[in-house]
Amino acid sequence: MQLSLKEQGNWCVVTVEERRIDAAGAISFKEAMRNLTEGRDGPVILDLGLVDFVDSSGLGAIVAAMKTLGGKRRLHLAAMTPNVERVFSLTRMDLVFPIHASVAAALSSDDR
Amino acid sequence: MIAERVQGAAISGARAPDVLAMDVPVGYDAVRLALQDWRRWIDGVNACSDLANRAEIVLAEVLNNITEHGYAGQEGGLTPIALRCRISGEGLHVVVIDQGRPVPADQCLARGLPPISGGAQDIDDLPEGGFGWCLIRELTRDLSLVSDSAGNRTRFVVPLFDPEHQVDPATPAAQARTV
Repeated sequence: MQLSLKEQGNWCVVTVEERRIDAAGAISFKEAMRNLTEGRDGPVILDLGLVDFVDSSGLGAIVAAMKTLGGKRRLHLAAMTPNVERVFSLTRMDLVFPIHASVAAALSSDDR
Repeated sequence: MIAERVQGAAISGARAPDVLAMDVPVGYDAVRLALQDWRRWIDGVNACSDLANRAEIVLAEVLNNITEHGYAGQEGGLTPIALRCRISGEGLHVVVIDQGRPVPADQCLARGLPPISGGAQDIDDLPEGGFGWCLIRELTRDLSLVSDSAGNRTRFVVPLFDPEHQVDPATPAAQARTV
């Protein structure tokens, strides 16, 4: 799975460069997230702006990525498209992650 | 319509453009490819894109569940999953027929969301699975599962309009309905 990382201030911004996080890509997503974020500090923003489809396996992989970061580094979600947002709200996982309309909005949040 | 074979999934001779019959090979990659073909079909019949978006979530869950549980651990030489779709004024009518292990219908139809409590809980306790049937139930009507000697048939309708679950970031997600 193609992910890219940019460091901005103390934030890591990870952009998903693909349109789907689904059952076929869930394991590869988890591995790519771990490879990009381990050995760094600070909260992580996952930019989902290019992603138009997440299924339950993809959702589970995003939850797993948050756990891998550990309790001290938060995983923020940014720029969710409507159909991806629907999967989070129907499963109530929207209550678990800090969610922002855009990466810029996430960067100006106080990581709470 | 002429039968055609596209990237491993066979779309065969539907009588009318609003009817689709497809064979979906078992496997996550095959399901992804099949959903691309399915998406071309539903976009081509001018179904509303919100209906197509909701239906794609449900189809992904149903087909991947069959791959993960019905055919657990098996690969190669498996009978493909038969997918039948029809568009009507009510929405998208779907029948999925597979020859895998029957999924216990009572559990799937009754299963609620994995337990979460907003905010306060330890992130290590968060569920990473169990969301699939919740999504299927929330997004469909008239869901039924029947298993007999002809295989397992999963039937449902994805309604044309979705007034209950408008995507609205300001509103907390609806509680899971019980079926």
